[in-house]
Amino acid sequence: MSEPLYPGAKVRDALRDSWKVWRHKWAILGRVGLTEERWRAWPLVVRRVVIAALVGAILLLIIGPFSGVDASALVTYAVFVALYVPSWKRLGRSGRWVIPLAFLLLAVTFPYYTDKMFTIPVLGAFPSTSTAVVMLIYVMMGVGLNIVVGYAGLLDLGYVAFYAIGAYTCASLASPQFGKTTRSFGAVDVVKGIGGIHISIWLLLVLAGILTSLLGMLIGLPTLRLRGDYLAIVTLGFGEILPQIARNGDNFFNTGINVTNGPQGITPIDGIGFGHTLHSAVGLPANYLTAANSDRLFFWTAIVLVLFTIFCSLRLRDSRLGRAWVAIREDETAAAAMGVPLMRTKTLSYAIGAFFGGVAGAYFAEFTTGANPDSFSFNFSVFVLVAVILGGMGNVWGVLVGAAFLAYLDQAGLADTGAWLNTHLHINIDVPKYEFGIYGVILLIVMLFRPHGLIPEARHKLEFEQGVADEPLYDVSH
Amino acid sequence: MDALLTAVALRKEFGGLVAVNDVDFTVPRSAIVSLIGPNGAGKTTFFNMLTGVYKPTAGAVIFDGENVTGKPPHAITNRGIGRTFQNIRLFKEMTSLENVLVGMHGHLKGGIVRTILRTPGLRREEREAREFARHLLQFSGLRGRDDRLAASLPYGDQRRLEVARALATKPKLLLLDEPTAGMNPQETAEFTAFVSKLRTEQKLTILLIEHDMRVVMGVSDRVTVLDYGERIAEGTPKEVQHDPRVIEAYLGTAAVPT
Repeated sequence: MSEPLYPGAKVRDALRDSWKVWRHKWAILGRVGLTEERWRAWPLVVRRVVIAALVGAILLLIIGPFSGVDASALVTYAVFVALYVPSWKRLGRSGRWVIPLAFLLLAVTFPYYTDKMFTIPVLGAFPSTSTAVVMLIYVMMGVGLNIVVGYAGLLDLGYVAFYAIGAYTCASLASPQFGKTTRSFGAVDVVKGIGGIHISIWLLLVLAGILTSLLGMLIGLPTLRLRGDYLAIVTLGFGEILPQIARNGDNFFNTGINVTNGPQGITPIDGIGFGHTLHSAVGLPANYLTAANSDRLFFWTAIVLVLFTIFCSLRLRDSRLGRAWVAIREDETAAAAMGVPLMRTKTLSYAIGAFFGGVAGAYFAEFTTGANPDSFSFNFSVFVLVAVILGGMGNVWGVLVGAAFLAYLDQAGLADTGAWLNTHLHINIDVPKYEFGIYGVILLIVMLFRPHGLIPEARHKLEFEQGVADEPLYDVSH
Repeated sequence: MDALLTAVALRKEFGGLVAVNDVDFTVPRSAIVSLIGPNGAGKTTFFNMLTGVYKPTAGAVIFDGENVTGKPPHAITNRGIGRTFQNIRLFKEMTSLENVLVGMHGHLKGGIVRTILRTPGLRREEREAREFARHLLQFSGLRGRDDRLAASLPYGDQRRLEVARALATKPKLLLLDEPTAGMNPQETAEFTAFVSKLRTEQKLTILLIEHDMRVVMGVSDRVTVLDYGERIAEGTPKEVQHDPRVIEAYLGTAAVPT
């Protein structure tokens, strides 16, 4: 055996060996006349039908005894088969769009079918629409942080600071917080005679992003000169300082200036919406908070925000700037020698990451109609970072899956799992209490079995396919 | 001769250690100049001062009529000094093409907004950049290796890729730090021919740190010898070869003919 690529490889190989079935699948299948060559000779469609049938049989075995197979499970399986079996790529340019568009359609129509879906074994029911909104906000944060950690390789342990700045920008400028002045600019449903600044939430989402990225640059300028561990420690510090400022910001230096309203936080915040004129003219929702389908409106808006984040993130990745980030991640000295200005390029990644963090924070504050210092703890930075690592640092789709899954666990999954365990094992454990312990275990497993994350960045995949030159040419351990 | 690069009394101290001691040094335009010396003579430190990795303790670096002393590395690169590294420092997880494209960073313009909008101008810039990068790879003898990860290339090709990447910065002066280290005689001969080709076809001025005397004597117009951070000799390869101080530095006093 050659030297393992990472410490867990041996454990992984041992586990894989214990499933002899998989290891010797061709030997076993060969007994009934199916060799690897014959399997490969079959047309792709036939092979996919066989795999789809196998997946169906396994799911039937798992879901059946737990929750029973109902119509929704069958429909889900039908959708899976329809997307998986035909080779859509054969259709050429338009074919490439079939699967992404199908996923988008499934995402957009999610609120209509989520309550009709089957129960997932152990994890419980499908996430509700409001859970899905929070999941999308976390995805946005994850994709934003991925620009800093995944692309540029700058370990940021204080991402929550940007989230908090965004949230407080939105909260303080769209609420009665600054009661002495009365300014209104495009806000909907502001109570007559109430004080405070009321700016349209749409504008505030943009403003929060810009303000956060400016502050990101300000924080970045002194800290980004540091490398590796030192940068992590300093960002950790900033992540602690900002929530403290929020907590004590009701009386800055005993001047009586109240910006953040201290430990109580700022609540409520004005509604987000298109106003009554547009509502009666073209039927756009006037105010999400008072609308009958409030959660759905928040959900669809969040989808737009996430799409925007992913779009920007992908465009930046495949550009001069994206290449410079990866170059810095790989070798700072060499990058500088190739004409990449280190400070400017790093600060840009920081500012762009901060932008999306700020917008996500502002939207979260709006969704929960309040900003409270307790929601901006260090745990939150860790949470988003775990989502990025779990999904696959540098890969947008991986981060999307990782963040959505962790957010789901945080919002509903762990509680449901706990309830399931307690009823079936007749115990009484408060599972969500062990949240971060569970994340730790998840992270450990990921590091052991898939060190590059669930969906690794294309570069890492290439590394496995092409190998690297400094590997020994012959097997040294024999 | 018109000087492209001049170092005036360049000095670097690390604590009490004087790594480079007031060295005066000139690289004439379109010449190949070699810097040689025993291990630890301060050659790489000298290189690192020219390229901005280290700030000189004293002295000045004049490049193309401009004082570039103490400027950050990327600024010096963008003024026209490209370099390779003694220990190969490629971006390992990037493909050959991407490595070269990073070298073109300073000559491309796309900012954040244009990148996100992907304007027609930016697309054209990107397309042209890729074309130029492919051309450089081909020139450096890496045809067909565009999409290989840098780390997966054989050693000799990695050396060539480093040169291609340095060429992408559109340098006037190319600094090669021990480019043939670890190469076999045939690879070394090929590389020496490649260096000569760089001068004739790319109109480059080249400064070379090298241990292999066949390479040094084969391609250089001028040779400067450093020992213990001091310049002990300067001249044509022939002159330097017979300089008693050089022989002493390399082989000891007993070897000096009396």
